Amino acid sequence: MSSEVLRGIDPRGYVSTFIREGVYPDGRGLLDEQKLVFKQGECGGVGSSVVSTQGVTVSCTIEASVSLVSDATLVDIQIESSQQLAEKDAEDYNNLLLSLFTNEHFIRRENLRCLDTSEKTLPLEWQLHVTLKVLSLEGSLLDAAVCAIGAALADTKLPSIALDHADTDESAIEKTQIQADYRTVHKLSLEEPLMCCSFGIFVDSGAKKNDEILLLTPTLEVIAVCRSTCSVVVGKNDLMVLIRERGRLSQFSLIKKMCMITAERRRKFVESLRSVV
Amino acid sequence: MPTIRSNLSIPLTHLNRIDDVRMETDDVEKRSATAFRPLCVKCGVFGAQDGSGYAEFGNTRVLAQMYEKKHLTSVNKLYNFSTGPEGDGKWEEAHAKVTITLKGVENETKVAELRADLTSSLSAVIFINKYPGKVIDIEVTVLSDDGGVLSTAITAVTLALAHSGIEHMGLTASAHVALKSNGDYITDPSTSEAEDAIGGVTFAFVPNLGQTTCVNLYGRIPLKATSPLLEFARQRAIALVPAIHKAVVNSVKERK
Repeated sequence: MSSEVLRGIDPRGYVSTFIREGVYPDGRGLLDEQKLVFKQGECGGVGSSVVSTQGVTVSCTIEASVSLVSDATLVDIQIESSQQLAEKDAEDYNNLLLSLFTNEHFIRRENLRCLDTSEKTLPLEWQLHVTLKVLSLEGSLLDAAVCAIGAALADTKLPSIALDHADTDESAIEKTQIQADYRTVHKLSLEEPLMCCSFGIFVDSGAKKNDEILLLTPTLEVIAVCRSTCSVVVGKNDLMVLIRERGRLSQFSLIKKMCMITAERRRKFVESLRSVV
Repeated sequence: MPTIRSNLSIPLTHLNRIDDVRMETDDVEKRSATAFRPLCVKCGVFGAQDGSGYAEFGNTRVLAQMYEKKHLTSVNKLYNFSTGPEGDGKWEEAHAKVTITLKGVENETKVAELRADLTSSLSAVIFINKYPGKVIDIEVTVLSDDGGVLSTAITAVTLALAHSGIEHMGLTASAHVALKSNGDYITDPSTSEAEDAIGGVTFAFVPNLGQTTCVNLYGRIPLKATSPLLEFARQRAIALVPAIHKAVVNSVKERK
């Protein structure tokens, strides 16, 4: 009972007691990886996935539309409103995830062209509508969201398009001239999968040296007492794709360590994804 | 640089389809009239969080969660319900208020109907007088809908309620049964299986009380066929009770 009282009145002191011993309050090591579980094709749409890691469960559903070739953005993302996620945070994550698509880290724009049964490109493009649902949120959403989108894209199967419109015909393409041919189904040509890991930087004010301690995938309770948080996204060839840092971080060596940890976790995720496919 | 814009955007589901002949289900073995689709029920889906349930019947999947409502001032972590919409802790009413948030259903009319049925079914079994001034929030997420979503949602909410520790009268068992024009019944039909049905019913009741909490009849069912249909649905709902009990018992074992 006394530990629960300490947890309520002095959460920082409670957490630092454990961190000094090199563990989280739930007994996990500070840099121990959390199990990541993903399942594809369970939530409808042309591609879907459910990913669960570190107390965060996210489902991702992808719907598709056909449009004429244009300069408009082809992917839109919506994180469904949830009482567990503040609207401001949802909008922030939305913009981050959209930037990954805009910078073609998930899929190149040219790979969203519609194909016919003989894999010839047509003057039509696929528009993808990505919907993320937050099912539980006990940690950082970004980790699970990036994995969920990657797994859903890998699960996506799109039909061939039968276009009854001559190449030389300059009139506008009508809806009735477009048919979805499910006899031949294509998978998307994706970029190398991304991996996101979130970290917390904790400074124990009670210790002799005020070192910055790196924490891998901290829970919400621990995040609340961290000096800063940092989410790192790593892509192909272990290159940094995105870093999102909030708070104050003084040691650049920690950023390097974060990237190495994320790259290692990404390799394991890629192997698992390939074994499923 | 000039940009090219286009207003043409056709959802894939609105396009004419050329289907694969192998996908036609005429030669697929039909289920018996009393068999449910492959089902999976789980009580307590998220380890660290109380009050969650998951139900899956075929390709219809629903997740239900009871969670604390976060307010600007504080979070009440001792119980799985908030102290009222304004969070001021005043006991404004003599009983708890049950609110349901439905996600994953696009049709606004269907959302309203489902919410009304779920709220009615749930309010009937919770001892709301024991929680005056409280608001019990339940978030129901439809992950995929292939028919029978109301029945699946009631099952998921029942499991979430059992896991939450909120006092209630008993588990609710629910079944969806469709009636074909030749008088045959289809238990727990998928959307495609229910296409040639003339109507159906979602029937939910509390077995240990023998009391019904939800009867949702739809379609054009002859008056004479109504009683036998309801009785058949009741028998089918009873068949689910062992599976629900097992899910609840397993969740208790997992907690230990």
